[in-house]
Amino acid sequence: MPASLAAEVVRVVLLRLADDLRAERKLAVAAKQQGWDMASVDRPPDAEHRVRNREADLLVIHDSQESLEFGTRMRRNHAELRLGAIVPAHGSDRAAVLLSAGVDEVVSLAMAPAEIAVRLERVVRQAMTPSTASELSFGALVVDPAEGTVILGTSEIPLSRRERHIVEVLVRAGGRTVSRESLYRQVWGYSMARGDRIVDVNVKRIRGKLSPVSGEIQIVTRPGVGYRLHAGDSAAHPSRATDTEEAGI
Amino acid sequence: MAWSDRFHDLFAAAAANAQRAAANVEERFRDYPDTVVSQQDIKDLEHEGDRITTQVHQLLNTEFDTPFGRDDIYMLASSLDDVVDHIEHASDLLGLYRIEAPMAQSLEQCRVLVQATEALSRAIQALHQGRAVEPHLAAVSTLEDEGDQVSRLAVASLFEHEDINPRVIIQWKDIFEVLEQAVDSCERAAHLVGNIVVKSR
Repeated sequence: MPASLAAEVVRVVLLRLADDLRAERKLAVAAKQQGWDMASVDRPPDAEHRVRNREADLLVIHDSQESLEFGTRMRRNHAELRLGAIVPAHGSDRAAVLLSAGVDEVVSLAMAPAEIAVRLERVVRQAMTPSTASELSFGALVVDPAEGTVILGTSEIPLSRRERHIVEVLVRAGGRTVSRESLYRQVWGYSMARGDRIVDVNVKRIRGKLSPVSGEIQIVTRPGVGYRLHAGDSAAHPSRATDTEEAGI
Repeated sequence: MAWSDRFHDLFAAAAANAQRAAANVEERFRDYPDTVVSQQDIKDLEHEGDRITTQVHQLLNTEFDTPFGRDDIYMLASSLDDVVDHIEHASDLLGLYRIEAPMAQSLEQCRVLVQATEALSRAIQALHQGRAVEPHLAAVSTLEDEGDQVSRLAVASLFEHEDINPRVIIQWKDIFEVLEQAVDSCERAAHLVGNIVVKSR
């Protein structure tokens, strides 16, 4: 691993369960050993706020249905985030269930803090590995969330943070339609009020910035639904694109 | 009933200024933040409204004979001034709250406001010319009802989901309230025109 990555501080957010301090104590010891920047929150919205603001590399949850649903949603909507879970005892069936549900690593309270630290940090460092792992691409459009760049062909496109995030979501969808509501939730982190045109206005701005160099890449509108990326010959007539599949992200 | 020309000219100018303010704010909302209509443009119209209102007051102080009651003249001038004041306030909130994009319902509300100021202008013109004002007053009243409905549904939409951004709720609730006040001021002015007609019979 490059020295620069080893020097990056891992930011951990623990979503606490009420009245259970054991996990917090174990993680706190691991955090101190590893030099993590750790925060404990009591409510999912507080954890989501940190994730949306890119203040978390690793979200650690307890083994509860509500926490699992929340954690896997965060993991799905934020590809750079890693999800860890704490179970009371090692070797239980719960680890298999959690890993199948989308948790990246499962640790138990029976483990020593050092083992917890190494296991969790390993999945975070793997996510931080540069080059193709952190870059997303759609045709000639390349998004690097870590660097905060959007490059089309050989030109870097100057986008605001919100605009970059919208492009990132569309690139991750890989050409499938993303609804306005889903785009809003992923970029702004809240539900969209009916009539809110923020997504449309931002897409219009992005189109304006892409157009001088867009070539075959277009943002296509699916009326009444949302947007998708399109590359190829039919980019000249994006309004006639007939794709009907939704990303459902 | 015919007015003295000087009072008519001032009321016609105030109504036309309100129309211009409504049209400009509609354009500002539509293209915001990439709009060519600046807050200063709206502010200039608000200043013009203040200037016209001041002239009405000065004329009241110098004219012994007035075409209708002094109180009615004063209140009508104030109501017309209120329309532009509320328009300027709503426009100012766009910048103050750093609105990223207009809500569709706000464009609808601006359209209602434009039509209300147009109907009000026609009512004042009809009053001066001794023609029937009732159709125009009815139009303003209908538009005020429509504006209420637009505003209610817009605010309701802000509370549809539990996790809508609280900042967005605060921003837009305020803006819709002020736009509604502008439309309500049109209706108050229209109501005053109706009172003037009744008193003159």
